[in-house]
Amino acid sequence: MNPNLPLEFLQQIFTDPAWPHVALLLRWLFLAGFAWLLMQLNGGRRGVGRSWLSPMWRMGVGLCFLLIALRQAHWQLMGRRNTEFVAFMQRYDRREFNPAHRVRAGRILDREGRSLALSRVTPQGVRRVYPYGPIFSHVIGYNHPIYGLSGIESGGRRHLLGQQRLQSREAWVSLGAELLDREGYAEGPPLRTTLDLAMQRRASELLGDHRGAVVVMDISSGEILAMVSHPVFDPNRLVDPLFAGRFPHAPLLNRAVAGQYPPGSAFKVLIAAAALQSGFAGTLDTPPDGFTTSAANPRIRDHNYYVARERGQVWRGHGRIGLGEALAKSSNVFFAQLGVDIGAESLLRATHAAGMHRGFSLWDGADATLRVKAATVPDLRDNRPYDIAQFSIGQGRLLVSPLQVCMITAAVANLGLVVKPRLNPDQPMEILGRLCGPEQADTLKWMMYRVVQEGTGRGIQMRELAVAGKTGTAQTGGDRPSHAWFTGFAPVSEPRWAFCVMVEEGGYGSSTALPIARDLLRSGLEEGWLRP
Amino acid sequence: MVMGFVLVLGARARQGQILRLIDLLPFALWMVSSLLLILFLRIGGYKGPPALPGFILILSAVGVLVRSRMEGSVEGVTGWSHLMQPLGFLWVWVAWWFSRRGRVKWLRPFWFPAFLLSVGVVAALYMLGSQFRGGIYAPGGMTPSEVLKILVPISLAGFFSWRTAAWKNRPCWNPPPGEVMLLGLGWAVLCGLLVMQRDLGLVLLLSLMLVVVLGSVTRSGSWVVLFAGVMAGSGWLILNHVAHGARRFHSWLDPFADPTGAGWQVLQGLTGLYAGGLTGTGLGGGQPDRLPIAGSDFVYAVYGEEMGYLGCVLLLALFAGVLREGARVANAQEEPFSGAVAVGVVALLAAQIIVNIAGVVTLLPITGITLPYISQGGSSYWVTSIQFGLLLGMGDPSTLRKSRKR
Repeated sequence: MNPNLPLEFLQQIFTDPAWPHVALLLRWLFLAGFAWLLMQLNGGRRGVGRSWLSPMWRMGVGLCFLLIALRQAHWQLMGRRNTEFVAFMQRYDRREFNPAHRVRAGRILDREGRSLALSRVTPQGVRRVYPYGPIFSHVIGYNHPIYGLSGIESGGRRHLLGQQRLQSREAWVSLGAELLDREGYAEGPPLRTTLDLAMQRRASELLGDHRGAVVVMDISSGEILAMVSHPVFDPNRLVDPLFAGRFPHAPLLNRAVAGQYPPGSAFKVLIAAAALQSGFAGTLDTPPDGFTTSAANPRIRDHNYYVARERGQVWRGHGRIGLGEALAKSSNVFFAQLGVDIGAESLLRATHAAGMHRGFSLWDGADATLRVKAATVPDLRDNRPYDIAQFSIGQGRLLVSPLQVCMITAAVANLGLVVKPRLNPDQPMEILGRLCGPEQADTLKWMMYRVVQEGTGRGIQMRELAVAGKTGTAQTGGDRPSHAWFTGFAPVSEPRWAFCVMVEEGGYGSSTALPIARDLLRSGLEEGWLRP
Repeated sequence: MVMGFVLVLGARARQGQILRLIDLLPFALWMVSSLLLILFLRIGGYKGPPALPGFILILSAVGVLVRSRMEGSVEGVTGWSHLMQPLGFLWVWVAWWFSRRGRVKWLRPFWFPAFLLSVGVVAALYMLGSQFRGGIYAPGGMTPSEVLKILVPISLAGFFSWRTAAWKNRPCWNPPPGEVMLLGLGWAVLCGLLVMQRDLGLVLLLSLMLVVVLGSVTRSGSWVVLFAGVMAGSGWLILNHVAHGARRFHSWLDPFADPTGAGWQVLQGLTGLYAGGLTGTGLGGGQPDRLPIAGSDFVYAVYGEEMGYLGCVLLLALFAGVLREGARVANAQEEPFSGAVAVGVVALLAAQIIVNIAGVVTLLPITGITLPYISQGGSSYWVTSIQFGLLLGMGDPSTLRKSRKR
């Protein structure tokens, strides 16, 4: 006989939906059996001898046990009357059934006041419900009695429970009393965010089965309108294997802020800003067989070279071109030389100005899912020019998150000012740095428009809206497909929205990432949630 | 027991764990060792109080349940501890076999060596042990000072039976002068060493035992009154002069003053109890991982969360039953030495149970002592086993007054 058979049988019983009821019955049977056994044993033969000490001993021990039982009842059965105790539990205990969970955490709203998370009273207590399920899984996060808090749920916890101003112990005590005096469940105040439900939903739809991220930002305020990371999980149905890392492709990871990817050509926007800021206005030759800093390093070539070679043709190069044309054509040869020319210091200054060198949180007090990771910026030195050349085409050891690319784009559209992105509309606006001066930013803005008009970004041209942008196709090493990027802003004349789309191993930026951005903008215009 | 175990396993399976054969081990070990213990008691001709072995078996079953429930979720509770209980039963049997038929009195000549050994153990521990969580432990986290719970009752009983007549009917205002000085000296040396190791819990236990033994030997309640005074005084001293003790004292008086620091332990324990309510969350339904030192000092809170207030009352009744049977055994002793040993052992058990639980429910400050047979910890478990074995042995009718009258 299989020795595991009884075990499997037990396992089946335990995982049956009816088990909790059986367990409850067993619990009572257990207590009853316990009591019965004690009565049996106590009913046995009476004492075998007595001395004068007996009554005193019995009184002493009996009194102690009685005091213990009373004192225990004071906490265990009547703990609710002790407001300080209640306050302690509210603050530090996550058990589902304690009075703290009698507060219905307030609703989390999008910028139009639509509920993205709300509390529902069930027979088991208060439960958090996410009407849009996985669409906001990373940014809103979850509030779960076992798995804890993440995202805005974690950062906005105090506000949602109505405890924003409860700084002192006394305030906690009075809240405890207030809660228990009230019948039913109190509801905390709602919390407004900068997110836009329609945009988030559409972005998530468009990203579909791709792995990747979409970020849309309001340029002048830094407010994040949409932040999607795929793959997603459903905050309404959290399960152990998700947290044990047994799901493929790390669905808990918020790729928009914590993903680290080579940006590829999308990073040329920052290089161009650094070049303009350091006064570059000339032209550079782009020889067809590429550029390298020494014979030991492989040559950096343009995309056109490889395309021509595949067709059995010979590419003649772009010739001598300026910055605008190089950006439009996304010339690696040009930018590798440009980076080496302007030097490590200017490049590093630009990355610092873009706020990439340090991490920050999108919501004060939130957990790691809203923490923007500092970019991995290699230690550039002028005596190692090949590193600089690679850095200048967004390759090498450089790793950034989609949000950081979006921030660079937004700065170009915002007179060079880098605004700290935020999800909390009540958080004051903060300037992280200045990428370049206003004139340089204006020049670059029109260069990015040219990318869409005549360069690699032509696919996003639309009649209703003037869009500027930059594609990116970042090699990941080995035989894996490239990461596809597209970042841009619109409308060009009075920029309002900056966006960045990144598709992991999506191939060409212009064929995978760009259509997502285009369809997102188009839907916005058609459905009316984008009004230029 | 079976039902409890099914509940523990069921809760684990609900959390997504796959059952393994080894999960049945603690249950099987308990069954086998219990049957063996009963068998050996039968073969050896056990004629002591019939309820006492029953109480011990139930108590050990509750302990096995609570510990196997904490396995994996509470630090320090590992699979190895499954052996603790069967080995403990072996100790019960050994101690019973040794002490039955009045043979406890053979220990009498060794009372002074036992005292010297106690002092030696404490002194060695003081010099060689390592500091951990405000106490001193021997290498490997063992607590050899636990053996004092056997040695000290023996040496104390020997001391009193040395000159029984001198103590009889002497209240505390009229004690035998020489004897009191000797007793005081010995006690000062032992407790002084323990205080230096900050093992205040053990000092408290031993002192409680001393006063009960004194009361029973002198047949005067005045010693208890004196002791209460001494306790109050030493409490004041500890409060003002021992930093470690003072911290615990303050957190006892007002745990809410520093809820995340000194009061944290106690309050988490109480929170667990509150979560349990009247009927508990069911075995496996609580969250002992939220409790600091859940395995030893706060095991009662874990039990209380899962078994509820009713379960706690039952456990208290069980303890009361053990103590009552023990007290009967002690009362029935005719020979002064074994009588004093029995009183000492029962007093120690009672003190340990009361002080531990009273600490959890904030009736007393936390003293860091374990709950007999429920807590995690090998040395404590085995010492309790020996104490139970001694009681079983001394309950043997051949040593009892009543049986001789027949």
